[in-house]
Amino acid sequence: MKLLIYEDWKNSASSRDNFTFQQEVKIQSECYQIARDFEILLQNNEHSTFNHYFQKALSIFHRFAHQISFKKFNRHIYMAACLFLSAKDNDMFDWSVKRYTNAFISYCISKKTVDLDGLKIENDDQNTFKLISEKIIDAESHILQMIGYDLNIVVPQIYFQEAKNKLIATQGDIQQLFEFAQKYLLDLFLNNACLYYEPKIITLCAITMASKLLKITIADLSNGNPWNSLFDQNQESNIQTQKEIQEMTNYFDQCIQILKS
Amino acid sequence: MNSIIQYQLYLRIENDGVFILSNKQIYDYQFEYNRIICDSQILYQIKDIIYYYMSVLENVRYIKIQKIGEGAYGIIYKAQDVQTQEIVALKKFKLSDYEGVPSCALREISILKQLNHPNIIKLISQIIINKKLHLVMNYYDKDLTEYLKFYHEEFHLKNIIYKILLAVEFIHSRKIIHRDLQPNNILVKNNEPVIIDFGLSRVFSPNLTPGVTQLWYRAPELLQNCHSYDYAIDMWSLGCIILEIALNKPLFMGQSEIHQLLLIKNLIDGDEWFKQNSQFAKFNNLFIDLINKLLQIDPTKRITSKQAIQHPFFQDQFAFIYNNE
Repeated sequence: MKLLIYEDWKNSASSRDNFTFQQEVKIQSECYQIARDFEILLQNNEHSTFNHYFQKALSIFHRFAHQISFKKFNRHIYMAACLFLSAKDNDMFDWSVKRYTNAFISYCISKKTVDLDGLKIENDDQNTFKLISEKIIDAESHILQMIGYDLNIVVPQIYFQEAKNKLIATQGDIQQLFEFAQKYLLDLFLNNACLYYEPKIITLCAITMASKLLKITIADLSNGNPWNSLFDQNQESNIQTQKEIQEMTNYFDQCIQILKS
Repeated sequence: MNSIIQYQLYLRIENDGVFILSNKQIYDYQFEYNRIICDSQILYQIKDIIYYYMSVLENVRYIKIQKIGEGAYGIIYKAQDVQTQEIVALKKFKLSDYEGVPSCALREISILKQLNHPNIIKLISQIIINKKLHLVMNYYDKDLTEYLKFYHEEFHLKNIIYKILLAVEFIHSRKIIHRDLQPNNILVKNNEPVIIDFGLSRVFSPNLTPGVTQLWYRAPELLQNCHSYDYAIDMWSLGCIILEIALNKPLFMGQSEIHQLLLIKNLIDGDEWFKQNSQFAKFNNLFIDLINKLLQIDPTKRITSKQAIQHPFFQDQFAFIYNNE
């Protein structure tokens, strides 16, 4: 089931606050990059559940940012809080706020351009640490209230695991395809499409994009149905799935064009 | 302009700092905006409740009546909804100044919001009072352990077992593992059980921490430090709980993980372990068969919740726990 209907998806708080679609796409992409930069510092990517964690953090962020205009919150602090929240929700992570605060301060010092409500973060001292950790905790509370404390988010990675167990290639290296699809799967979170498209569609879209890029053909399923009907109950729902994969791919391409412009 | 309001508070102060309404002691005090005017020498002690009542005036809905439980997560109070007069349970979570909302609270809220079932505790709302997170839930006065001290009607026991299984089947169908099923986490009212405490629950994932479930109800694979377990850990706990209902005492009372594992292996040895132990002789064969299918050491051989509710023990309305002679 879709999280939002199309009209609601397009009616974000930022759009009501006079942000253009292009501006929103650029800020969402910037936020995604902030998350990736934090992760380089946090070094969580060695964890077996990293992809679940990262996708959930970005889903939380998009759910929150859909309701609050980008003018009204600090995207750096709130992205750190989303990663922190997702880590808390994950059995296998060290989720101390200390790690996330230290990563945030290191990020600010390395970037030099980041400020917090006009305050430049230039030193790694005790006062700065206290300030940032309090900001992250406050942001966590705000995010939870806005998303209704709902962290029971099904991420595309769950479907991707299933697809990896069931799909085979008629020609080409399927493992190479999965590696590329995994990268696409994360990149598909650089906009807020996860609010409209279901996790299974995002998964199939990532695999389709990798398949096209690498020119690897995926075999039909053992029951003779096309591979992208993997999560469908019947032919009718598969027609809808194929339509949505195409739609989402087009949307992703449109966002990439905006980012290049 | 001073707006002075005079109140009388009926309160008793317990040693642990919990304030409970009572008619034993009365203190007069006044509010002047946020300043408290009070002649009592115990102003310092009662200031929290005065501030609490000030927040009641600002439409806070719940008054704590008494503490009914405490754990690592925080404290549970019996409380009253001032709007509806309904008695509720307030679960207050200890908040660390530095770590924000506890992860167990986050999981409990997000999971309970998905689970609407008559045999699963209902989360009415979550509120923040004095910067502390409180979950508001339906109130029940007995857990299963307490219930079993007073009630042994076989018909009701079978109904309780069946309803617990229905609730667990519902939880599992939502891809959630409870991970802390034990008699203290099953409450009973009017012979109907509800499962509570989802603080350790998780959506199924290929990699999970084994340090879950109270020791006596912990599955062998968890005791062996397995990280890739599934719903079967709950089914083991249910096997222990159901047998505890029938025996009226816990089945495995280990004092350490190794001791627990030894107790399990000493009892469950071979396919017909229940025949070698006289305490099981009084049980109906269908009941024994259900228990045997739940208490399988190998999790892949353990019955699922869906299979358990379809077990002949529940299909046959004349099959009771104990033999009739």
